[in-house]
Amino acid sequence: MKSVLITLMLALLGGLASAQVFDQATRDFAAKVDARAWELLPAQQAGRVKILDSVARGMVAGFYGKSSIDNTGSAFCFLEMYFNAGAYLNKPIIDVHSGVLRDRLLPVLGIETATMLRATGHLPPEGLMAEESVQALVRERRVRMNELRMDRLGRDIQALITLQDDLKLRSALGRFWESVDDFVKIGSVGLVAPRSGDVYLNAHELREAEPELSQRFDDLRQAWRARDADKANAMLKSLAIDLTARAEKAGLPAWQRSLELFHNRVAGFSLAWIGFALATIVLLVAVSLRSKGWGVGGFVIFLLVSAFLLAGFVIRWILSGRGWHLPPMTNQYESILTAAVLSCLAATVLEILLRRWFFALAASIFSCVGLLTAYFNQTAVGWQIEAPHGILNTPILAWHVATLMIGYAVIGMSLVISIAYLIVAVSKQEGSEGVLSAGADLAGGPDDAALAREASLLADLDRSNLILIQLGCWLVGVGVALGAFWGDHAWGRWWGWDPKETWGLETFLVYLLIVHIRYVLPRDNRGVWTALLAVIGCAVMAFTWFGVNYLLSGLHSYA
Amino acid sequence: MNKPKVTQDRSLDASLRSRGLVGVISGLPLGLTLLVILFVYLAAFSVLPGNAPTWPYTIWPLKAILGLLILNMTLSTLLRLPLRAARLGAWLAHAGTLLLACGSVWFMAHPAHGLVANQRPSAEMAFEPTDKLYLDYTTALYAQVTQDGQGELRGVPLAPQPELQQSTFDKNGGVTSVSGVVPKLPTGVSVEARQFVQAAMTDYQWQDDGPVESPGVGVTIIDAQAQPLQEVLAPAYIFARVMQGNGYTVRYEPAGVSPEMLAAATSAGAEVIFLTGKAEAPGQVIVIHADGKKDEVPLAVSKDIELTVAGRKLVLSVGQFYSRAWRKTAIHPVPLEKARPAAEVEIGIGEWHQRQWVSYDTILHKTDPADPDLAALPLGGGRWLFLQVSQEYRKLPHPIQITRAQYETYPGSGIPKDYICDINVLGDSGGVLSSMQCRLNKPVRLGEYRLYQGTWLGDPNRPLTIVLLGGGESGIWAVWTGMGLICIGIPYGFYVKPILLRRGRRSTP
Repeated sequence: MKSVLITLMLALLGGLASAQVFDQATRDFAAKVDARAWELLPAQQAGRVKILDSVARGMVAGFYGKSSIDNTGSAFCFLEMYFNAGAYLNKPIIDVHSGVLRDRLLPVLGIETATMLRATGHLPPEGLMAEESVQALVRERRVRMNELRMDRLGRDIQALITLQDDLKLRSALGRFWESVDDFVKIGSVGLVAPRSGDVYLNAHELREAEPELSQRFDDLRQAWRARDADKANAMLKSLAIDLTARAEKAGLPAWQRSLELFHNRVAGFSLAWIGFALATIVLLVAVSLRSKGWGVGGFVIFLLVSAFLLAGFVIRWILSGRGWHLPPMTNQYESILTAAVLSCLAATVLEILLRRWFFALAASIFSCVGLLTAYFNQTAVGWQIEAPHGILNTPILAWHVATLMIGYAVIGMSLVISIAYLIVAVSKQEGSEGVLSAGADLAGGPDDAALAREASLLADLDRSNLILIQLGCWLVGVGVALGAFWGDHAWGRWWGWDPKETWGLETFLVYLLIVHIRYVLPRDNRGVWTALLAVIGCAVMAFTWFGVNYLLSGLHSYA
Repeated sequence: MNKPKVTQDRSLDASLRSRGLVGVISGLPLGLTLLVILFVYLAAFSVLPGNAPTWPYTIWPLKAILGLLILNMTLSTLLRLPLRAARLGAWLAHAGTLLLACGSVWFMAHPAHGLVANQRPSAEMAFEPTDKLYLDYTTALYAQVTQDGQGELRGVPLAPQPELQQSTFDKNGGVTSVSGVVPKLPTGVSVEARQFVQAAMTDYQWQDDGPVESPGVGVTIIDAQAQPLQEVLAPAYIFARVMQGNGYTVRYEPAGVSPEMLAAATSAGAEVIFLTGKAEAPGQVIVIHADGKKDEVPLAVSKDIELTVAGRKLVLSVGQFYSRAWRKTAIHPVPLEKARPAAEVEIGIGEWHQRQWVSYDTILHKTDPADPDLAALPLGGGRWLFLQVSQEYRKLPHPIQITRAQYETYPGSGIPKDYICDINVLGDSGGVLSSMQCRLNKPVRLGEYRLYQGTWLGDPNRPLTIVLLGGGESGIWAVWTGMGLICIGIPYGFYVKPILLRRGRRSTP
């Protein structure tokens, strides 16, 4: 009875709680102020100089879960938190992304906070951070990572989770604190290129280093807080001109900033999933109808989207500024992007050599699913371009990851072909049963031709599948060997039974099994068993690629 | 040309099938079954809780599966795959796997992976040279008999770490029987490991059955204004000679207090309580006050003595006099992560034999008699026996000394970019033989070992300890060659073999 009452009360309060973070005055101000004037402004964050648009998208998505609050745009949200963070300490803006964590927190939170969490999926920063962090935040001081201390609620949450031996919950909690950290660190983002050295200054640091410029920042802050859009626009514009000029002298040219803005607008080129979806539809029609016209059309679309994605890969490589020895392959989004690009390249080569539409179709579906996943999980997979950890800064990494990614890509393509094979095999079996039952009346006829077509299609699919499986087996083997070489080079041991290593070996074992099992199977069953095992193999590959990172602890948390 | 060979293959297959056990062991069905078992085994143990435990990969079931797999593959290659151009891929891949397995066994049989700790007393001082590579999988019992601080360190490995890790599953707190006699100790001194425990809290108690004449006294001072002081004073143990607190010092001098000692205490202007005497000849309490005044009272067991020292009323009582005092360490096994490993050691000094626990200490071997944390026994005549359980170490070919350590981060962030150490390799005379630079992804070679950037303790920009990882490379050439052969053999089998077979079919009339 008591729990029912509490639930009803929570539901009532939840209904009353506002779904919007910004009040009407702030939303009106957001409509008038031109925060986009600062989108191309160079800023330094997490060890990299990037445009403010990148910083804003990353950090706002980092703490709020979406890159924009109340549809006001990333740049506005960032500047609102940069100049006016103190106003949001009791607002629900810290994302509690994990449902498991939310469920665990609700019973222990105060009724008001629980209501807020239930209604919005967010918690207020107040209570999570200690007083000194809050004070530092309100004063826009540079808050260092180790200055972030927890307040009572934060400690309670931490204690609650520490008692649980649940990796998923701990992982969720780790991400939650990263969200808090993103909110806290907004004030420490360097917006002013230094006159000497390579560390950008934030507004607080300007007070001592450049009082005149600092005064202009203070004026902008006052205008911003007073919701004086005209004055704020004028200040934003004049500061943007001066700060950009300083950054260009420091070596961040306009073309690079424009390229980065384009990269952001197309969500790190993950938007290519739309093109691959279109190519998939056209190629499906081509394969179903065995139509050369549709096939060529689908392949042309596939090639165009592939070129767009390849351009995105190269642009990201240039923007990362890591040099030619280190392509963008150092986080999960980059691994998805690499796998998609390489699957397109592999499919193009195979199509040129073998002239079937299966490979382009499989690569389209694989890339579409991968990029779609990345597009809708931008924060989780990390599509922002970041500075790589020093241990990743080696060309061996590129060879190791590229080999594995192309291996994973062809395995993913083989999953598509395997599913197609199984569907056709099932339909053929049903068709042949139909023919048998009707055979007493109608011997021969058009059904025989249909069955023959299906048999030929099955043979084609099996051959295509085998090509991909063999390629995947070899590439995963080489990738694991290169990983061992890198491990020996970086950590002093070539094998350590780290979960990622173990599951890389597991993936290789499955494909060795598939390759060998064909020798002992009767010819009639080979295709079906190969397809079934390829589905299992792809599941093992997916667990190696993503599952290990989230479910098992080890050294490859960045992969 | 090829047709008879195909027939020959089939007849070979048929004859193998009729060979019973050999046919089964060399058959593909067994190989595939073993691959499935191996897959399930690895999958099951990889999801074990904890930080990727390695013991499941060193125990016999996995060795048995891998051994059978290698046997199956070797026999099937030799008996079922005639060595021809078309079969070369399978031969290369299988030979590579065999070589990889041999290399792995060789590598595992000669393990040499650990860390080299480079330390300095303060950030302003230079790093001390070191020549020790502490293996990260094997603990060892070390004993050192010193005379005036000099003496060779002798060690004996305890059980390999993976086997010890498994002992934590024991219900008795993980106590495992071990054995190992520390070699080459001076005549009359023996040290032998008996038991090992992964997680224990250590504690000690004073006993009166030590190896040598070693007077001691157990004393309690009750101070109405402060916490009582209770300790055993045993001058043979430097750290147990003096008891300080509450504004005065208590010293035990069993042989009596010399005029020089009294004069020194008087001139220092301190409040000192001297205790003298032994069990068979109880002595005195001599109190030296700050103003130089001296009080003397007879001292006896179980007799409370009231004193006024530093203006405070004290009650001093002696619980026990010891003739052969020694501090014996005991353990309380507890399955806690915070507890440390410990080994029970049987010590023999002449006719005297006793067992005591020695707790795991830092990897650094210390021989400071004033360190109360060390297990140390006085042997008389200025000689000491030090005992320590720590990681087993190997000597590097030459001592090394870090001359510069640089921690690089990306501008405006704490994200590590590189860690660079400049290292001098020292000769026997202390001169610099060579210099090298070790950084992330750029290991350096030192004789049979390679050194890698590890971690640091303290401020990353001014670390007090830099840990370099070190690894031996036994059998590594076989590992790389094996992997290379597999990587060549697989595509040969997939892509060259079909071409050769097609050509063979075309050339067959």
